[in-house]
Amino acid sequence: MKTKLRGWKKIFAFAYSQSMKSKAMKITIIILCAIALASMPVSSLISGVEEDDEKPDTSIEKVFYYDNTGIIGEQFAGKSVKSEIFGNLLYEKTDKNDSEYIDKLINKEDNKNQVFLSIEYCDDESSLNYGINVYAYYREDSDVNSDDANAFAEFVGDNIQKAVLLDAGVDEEKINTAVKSIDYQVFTLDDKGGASDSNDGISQYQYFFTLTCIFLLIFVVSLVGSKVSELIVTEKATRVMEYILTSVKPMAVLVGKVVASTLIMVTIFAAVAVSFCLSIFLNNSMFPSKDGAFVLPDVLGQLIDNGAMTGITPVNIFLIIIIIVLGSMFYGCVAGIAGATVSKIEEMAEGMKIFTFTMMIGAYLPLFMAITSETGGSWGSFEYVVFLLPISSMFIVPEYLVLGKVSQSLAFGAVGVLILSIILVLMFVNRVYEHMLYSNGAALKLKDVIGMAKKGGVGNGK
Amino acid sequence: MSLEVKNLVKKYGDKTVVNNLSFEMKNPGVYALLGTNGAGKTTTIRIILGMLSYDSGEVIWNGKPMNPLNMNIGYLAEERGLYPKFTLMDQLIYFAALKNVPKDEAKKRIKYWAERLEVEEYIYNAPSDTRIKGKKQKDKTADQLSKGNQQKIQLMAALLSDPEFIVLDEPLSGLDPVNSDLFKSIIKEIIANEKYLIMSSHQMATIEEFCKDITILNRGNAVLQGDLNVIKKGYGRVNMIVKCEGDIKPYIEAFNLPVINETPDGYHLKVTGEEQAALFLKRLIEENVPVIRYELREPSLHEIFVEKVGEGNEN
Repeated sequence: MKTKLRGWKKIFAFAYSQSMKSKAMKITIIILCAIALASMPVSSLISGVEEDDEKPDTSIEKVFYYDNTGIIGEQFAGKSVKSEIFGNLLYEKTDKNDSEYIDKLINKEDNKNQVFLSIEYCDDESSLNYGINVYAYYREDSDVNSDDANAFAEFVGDNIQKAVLLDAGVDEEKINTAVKSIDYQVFTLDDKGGASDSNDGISQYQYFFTLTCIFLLIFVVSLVGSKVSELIVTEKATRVMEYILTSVKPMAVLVGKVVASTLIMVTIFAAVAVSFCLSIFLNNSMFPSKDGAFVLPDVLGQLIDNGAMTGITPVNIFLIIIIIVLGSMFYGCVAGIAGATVSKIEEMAEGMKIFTFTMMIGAYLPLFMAITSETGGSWGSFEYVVFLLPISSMFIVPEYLVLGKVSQSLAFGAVGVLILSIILVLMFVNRVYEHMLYSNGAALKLKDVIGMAKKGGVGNGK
Repeated sequence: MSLEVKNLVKKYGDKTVVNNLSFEMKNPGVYALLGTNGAGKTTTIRIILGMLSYDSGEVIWNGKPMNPLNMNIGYLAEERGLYPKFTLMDQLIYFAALKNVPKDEAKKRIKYWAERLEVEEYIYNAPSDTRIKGKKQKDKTADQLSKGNQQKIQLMAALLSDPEFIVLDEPLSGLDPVNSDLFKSIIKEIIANEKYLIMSSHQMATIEEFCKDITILNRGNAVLQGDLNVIKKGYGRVNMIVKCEGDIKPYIEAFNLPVINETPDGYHLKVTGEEQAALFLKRLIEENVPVIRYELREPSLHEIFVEKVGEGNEN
């Protein structure tokens, strides 16, 4: 094995340095870094404009309300339920319900910027309207628009519970505690004391985070795969391969290219990550918060607030990096085999079909698993297959480690399977790569490659 | 040092592309591998260079199984290859590094070979006085070079490590006469430095110029092997060229001599041996036919090649 890998460092160094020197790579990195650097300040600028647009204002001037509960409307009219936007509205109680009042609202000229609010309690359990129902009406020829009316109806709907409790004389501080949303999590402990989330489902924030990570990792794998394949096909097409193989074995060529492509990906992501961090600092200096505190991006802040980052520990970060790097190398090896099936640059897309197909299966399994989890379902023990399968583990284990949804022992298992898979792919490469690299005719089909592996293509020589 | 190839067999599925091939290079010099396209030359070369596995046989260097990765080998492949978009200097340093030549030493050797092969202007930036003012001179890439100059760069790559064993597959194909002579002078230099060189070519005149020993391959089989001079002597002086004043066709027919070719230089005839040639000449003189040219020689490598490969194909 040592002989077969001899020289891979030289292959790696040249592939990496030449790729990084290329104009296309420089432009790509500059564009990605510029986008990352500008992302936070631009986002603040846009949200600042939106905030200006969303001044606490409404076109509603007066509210006529009908309330058959007799307690809710009074709390709004009496301003017990506070609101920055709707705090200055005039309220007038009416005994007429919606159907009776609508004529009055339509026909009277000076009723234009008014809303009729109907709060009706239905105690018929068999009715579809069982419970409290809120209806709001506004005239289409008035200054009140759909946004105003919807915002007002939402304000009333959100605060009905509060109004009932205020009417019951409960202290406002207690009400605020009572109406807060309550999160809970259940953890299982392994024999080493490691905790993992026993809840099969994931929250919306966790789902959003998982989805983003899967798409990001698809980008990573595509980047590494296409780079490996491009490097191999270029050397086959230009016949440089012939010269290189007098100094190193085919396996060293593949390993050198895979490591170089993985490092190229790491370099790009490191550059983007540094730019993004700079962007956060830039944003804080350009748009400092009122209290001078350091402000994280909204998305990150929300993820932390919603417990989506509970698994960030040094060991998990190490595992995440290892899994992504090993996963990229595994897919790099697959791309190397796929790339060697063709001998012309223009045939590369055809050769990469098998790589793309494998990647899609590998990425879609976790994607559908996350969708199922978001809706509260579970794939049962098949989830372990997805966590351990080398084609899918890198797409799901890193983010589930962050979310505390997989245990470290399972992640170590995924690392082991990935290492084993890479070794198996390299053994396969050892059997077929020599002949694949010299084939210069039509693109090789999967059955041709399997045929080569069966025959071995190798006698007693070397 | 010596190279020995013993009973080499290479099969692709049911097809045998190299069949029980054996040859030996006991001393430094040039060994020729000849054959038609698809005869198995490149496969043999790839096996010797450790690039291809084989089914049976042995390749022995200096008495031990040959391990090309532990040797200093130079190779100019038939299908030339350079990275089209990388600078020439970068790729030459890379090729040298693959052969364990340190960067500084590689630069010195590149300078030597660039001068020797007259390609400095492509490898190094133009001198400052010839540059366009204010414009940065970019290093040349392979795709900016002519085919002949690309071939020179590849010969450089093959020789940068000062190899002990060199394989040149069709070194002169596609070169103009001037560059062809330049390459020949370098091959002579390699021979003078007592290197082991295997050369494959379709240009028989070139082979005759440089090679002492040959193997002619046909469909994977060695159809003729050995010292070229001995092989020629074995055929004897059976090629006769005769140019006379007047028509000598009746005499040729009378002697039943096969005509190989008829040119303004005269008739190229095949004789059974020196005796028949002497009898034919005697007859011409007796008949008072003025003889302008009379030449009796061994067959050329070209003729031997055509004969042997033709025989092989008929069988």
